[in-house]
Amino acid sequence: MARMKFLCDAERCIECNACVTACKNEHEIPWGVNRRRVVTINDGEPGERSISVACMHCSEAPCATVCPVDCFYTTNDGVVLHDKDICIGCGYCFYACPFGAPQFPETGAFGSRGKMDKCTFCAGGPEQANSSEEFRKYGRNRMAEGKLPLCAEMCATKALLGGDGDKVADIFRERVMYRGAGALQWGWGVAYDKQGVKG
Amino acid sequence: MTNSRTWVLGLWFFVSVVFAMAPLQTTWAESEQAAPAINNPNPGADLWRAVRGHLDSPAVTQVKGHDSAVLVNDEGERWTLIRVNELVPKSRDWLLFVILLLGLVYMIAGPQKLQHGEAGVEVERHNTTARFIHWFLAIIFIVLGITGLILLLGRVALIPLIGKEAFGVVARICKEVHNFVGPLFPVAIILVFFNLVRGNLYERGDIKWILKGGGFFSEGHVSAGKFNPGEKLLFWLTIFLGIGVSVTGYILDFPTIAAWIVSASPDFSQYRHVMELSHVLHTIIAIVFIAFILGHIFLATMLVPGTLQGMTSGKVDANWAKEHHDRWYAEIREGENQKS
Repeated sequence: MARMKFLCDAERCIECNACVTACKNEHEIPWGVNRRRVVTINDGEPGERSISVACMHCSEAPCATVCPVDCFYTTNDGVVLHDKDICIGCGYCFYACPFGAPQFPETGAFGSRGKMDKCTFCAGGPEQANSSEEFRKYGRNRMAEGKLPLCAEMCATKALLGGDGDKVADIFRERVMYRGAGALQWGWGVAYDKQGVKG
Repeated sequence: MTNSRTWVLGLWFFVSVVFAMAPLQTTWAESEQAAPAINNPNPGADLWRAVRGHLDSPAVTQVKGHDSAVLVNDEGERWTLIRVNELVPKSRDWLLFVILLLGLVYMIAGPQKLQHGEAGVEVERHNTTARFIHWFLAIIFIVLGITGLILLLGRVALIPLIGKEAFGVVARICKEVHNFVGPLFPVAIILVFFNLVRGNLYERGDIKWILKGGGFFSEGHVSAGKFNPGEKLLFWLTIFLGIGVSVTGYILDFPTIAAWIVSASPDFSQYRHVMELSHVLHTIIAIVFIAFILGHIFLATMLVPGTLQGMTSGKVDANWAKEHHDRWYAEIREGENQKS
């Protein structure tokens, strides 16, 4: 099975926030919840870079490690999902996650934390694929339909890549070979044609 | 002799440290005067520092939140490791150790029966107010202790027994109960403090009691007032551990309380590291607290019969008072004599 991964190419992201909007629309996410966000570093200065980030579906996910009720599980595709029927909304996954992925949309009495919500790699949850129950809790299950995450699929500059980790790495490697990492490939653009870069 | 040797060793250590530091200081002074380093930063390195929020870079995002502009946050991993490798296994081991230790004490010392049997005459030890406050705190403590331990250790202790789905329901109830009962805890601590502080100050004779180990290792009883130094230790631990567990608990229970209370001081930000630190302290203090309270319950119910009734009916046997709290017993007898 493929190991699903996200990659955001900081040289390409233009901070259009379309991935954020697409995600919100596809999964009908409530106000105040952002499964994906775009962070811009050195905004308005030379060297400005934007990066889109969501749950990275870690190999040894810290959220799953600290969860007091053990509600996380990893699919055969390497996607980290959680069961909202078990989740108690303690917020520990939010303390542990390096990427700020876990969100807490629902609120209980007196504003206590509701059940956690996060990016599912468009792979739904433990319920029957694309059942109304699954859609209500986790959003659409595009993976069950053979599709990749919508945020990456519709990225206009193809900065955000999501899919089989090996294929994502191949695409990115090719890009780096072509454009070089800074000035490290001095003379390549003059000396070789594009086929030469690939070959 | 040993004393002077310690002093000489200490002095020698101090002097050697000072001399060891001296060349370091000159090196620093020299490096400051050296030619300025070539300032040619690697833009890539700066970018990845900024990703982790280590630069005061103007990172921005459309998403509101304390650290939503930080892409990779280091703080979480440190907390994750503390929780998984330290707090959960060590709490379990320490509590099991305390329970085994108390069992061992019981097997060796057994129930400490009264030497002269019961007198059949009772004296009042705790009035209704004191008993009400004690049980107010005790019930809150037991509820918080059990729900807290289930939240902390349930994944290792209960999920293998009852499964994830059932435990999810149990843990959900525990979380809500813990969060709603928790804020009452400092109220109970404050009541206990004002109710019992007068009997729990230092008295003459306490030091003798401590030196004799409370008479635990010797025949016969050591003289004590209304509360012996062991009980006084428990009182002050209850106050200070109670304050610690309450402060950290309020921070955890009300993630926006700091902004609300100290809005005048924006320097105190209840960010993730404050929550993580509070969680770690809350757990450690609570486990220590539970260990002492287990000891308290054990002493009052199992090891020294006749003690518990002082907190239920409020009256204890006169012989119990005479043996365990002779000075207090003498005081109340004197009071009665003056009345009559």
